[in-house]
Amino acid sequence: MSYEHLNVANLILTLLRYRTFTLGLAIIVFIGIIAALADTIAPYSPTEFVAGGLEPPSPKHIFGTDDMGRDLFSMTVYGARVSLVVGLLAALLSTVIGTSIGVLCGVVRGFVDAVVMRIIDFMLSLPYLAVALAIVAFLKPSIWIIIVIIAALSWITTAKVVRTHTMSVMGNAFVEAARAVGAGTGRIITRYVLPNVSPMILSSMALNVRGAILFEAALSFLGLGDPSQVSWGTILFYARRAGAFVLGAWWYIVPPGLMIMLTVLGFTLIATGLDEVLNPRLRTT
Amino acid sequence: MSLARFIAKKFFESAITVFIGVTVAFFLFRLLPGDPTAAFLDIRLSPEAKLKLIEEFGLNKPLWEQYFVFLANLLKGNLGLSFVYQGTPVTKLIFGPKLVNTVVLMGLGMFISALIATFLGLIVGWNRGSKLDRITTSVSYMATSAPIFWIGLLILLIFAGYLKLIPASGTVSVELIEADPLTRLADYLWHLVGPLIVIVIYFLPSYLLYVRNTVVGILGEDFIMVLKAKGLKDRAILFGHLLRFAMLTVVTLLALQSPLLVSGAIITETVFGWNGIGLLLYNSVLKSDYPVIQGIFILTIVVVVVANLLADIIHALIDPRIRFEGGRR
Repeated sequence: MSYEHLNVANLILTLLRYRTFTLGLAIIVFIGIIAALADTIAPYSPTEFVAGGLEPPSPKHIFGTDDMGRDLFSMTVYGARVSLVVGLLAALLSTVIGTSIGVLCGVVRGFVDAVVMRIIDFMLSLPYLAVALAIVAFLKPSIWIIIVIIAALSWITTAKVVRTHTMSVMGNAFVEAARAVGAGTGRIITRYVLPNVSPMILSSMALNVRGAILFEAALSFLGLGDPSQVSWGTILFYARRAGAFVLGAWWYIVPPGLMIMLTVLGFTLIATGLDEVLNPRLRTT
Repeated sequence: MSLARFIAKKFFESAITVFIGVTVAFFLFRLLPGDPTAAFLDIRLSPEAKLKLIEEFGLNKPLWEQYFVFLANLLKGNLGLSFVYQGTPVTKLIFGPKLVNTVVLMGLGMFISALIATFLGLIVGWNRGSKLDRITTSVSYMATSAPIFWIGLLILLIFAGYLKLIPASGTVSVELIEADPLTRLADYLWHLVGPLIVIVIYFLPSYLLYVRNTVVGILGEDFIMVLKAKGLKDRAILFGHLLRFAMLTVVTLLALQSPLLVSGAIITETVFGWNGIGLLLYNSVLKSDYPVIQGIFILTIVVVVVANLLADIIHALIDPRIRFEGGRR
């Protein structure tokens, strides 16, 4: 990729010609609409006991009911909201942290960079889920704590990618030229580094959302999610607790998992599409 | 850099990482809200055990002093007593049958995944663009998008719920505790099937995609053309030359993804009630058994660091260039 300024409109037009990207975008828009219109789409409240336990799908409850008689369709619809909000906010936060650290290391280098790289090496050997479990063990889990934990544990890949690209931008003649005419570090960062690194930030953010959604799902499935919210992971936690697999209650297990898979796949496709466009060497023939 | 010096340098770096990990573990568990001795003392322990712990870990001394006592105790293999398992020493609880169960499950799972990934990845990469390639790649992408615990639940639903082919939970059948060793082994393996399938589904797709992409990348290199020009058969190029690269890739991945080993163990063991370290950690979190959480935390860091160290050494042995460029990454 050449270091000219990317034209946003052009980029979007190019992206839309890629099937991977458009498919991913379509999936996420679909899930997004479900999440935004949850109040309209869901026929019942996700926490209300509206029927008998473990009723198979019927016209009245199209995804059936759980062991406590809640409407699984409504729970799944509201689950989209929790999963997307946690995923997007945690990814946004981790992307901001990762970008700041990456730019800092790439611009300042030297001692700061060396220290941060050691921290990154250390964090790479951390078993994230175990750490998250240990933290949740002391703190009462809430949606906000979960977002912060996920962000704090997942900024590393972004930081590494941004750092490498910042270094390569900083090595360009135009940066030297800008310095020669008196541009300060701040101006170089906002004017040259960030615009050139932003495509990598975007695709890295898409991958962060994917990771955050899987992470939240895993925590909730282990019963360590926010107890006041119903996410897809929480539904599967209830399903396991109720022994839905022994009872053959497939309607309790299949839909929430499919939704997680679909959402994660959507963000993966978006990230892959971005990579294909921005990094032509990866393009598949 | 000589091989010995390279290994010494990597070993030193690994030791530092482990040391940082142990330090983080110590202070993390001392910053618990409330009592700073909560990491070692609990009302679930007997008064005598508590007194012994205060003595052994210097819990009435200042924090910095406790830190050095903690390090000394760690070297002696003393990590305190479990709150839940009637005051069993943490190290005894971890380094016992539970660790064996986890090593069997994860070791076999990773081995099977690596084996399939190496050969299937080679074949698929060689035939890139073919129908087999497209199917394998898309299935792998789908599989990496599915949460592992959901796959576990689906396998339980189908094979335990509907077909009744595998047990719904556990490591052994209670009624067979007294049976002869061979029956018990068969029973153990029967319990292993479900979690093992899940672990393979967990690791295989990412290994496979990685090997495939490496092979596709190498196919564009000049030496492949030279080999072809030399008149070598496809099979000879595949298994004589490419296999090495594929294996190297897998070794790297095994190390790089070793943190995933821990999450995989926690989730899979929880879903299947497999009596290993992952399930122990999960139960300890639910019951606030801090000494056990702390012990497993340290163990997992050591495992990941050692895995990376081994990968570095194997790499240096296979590919001498690495020694001069200062390691992977």
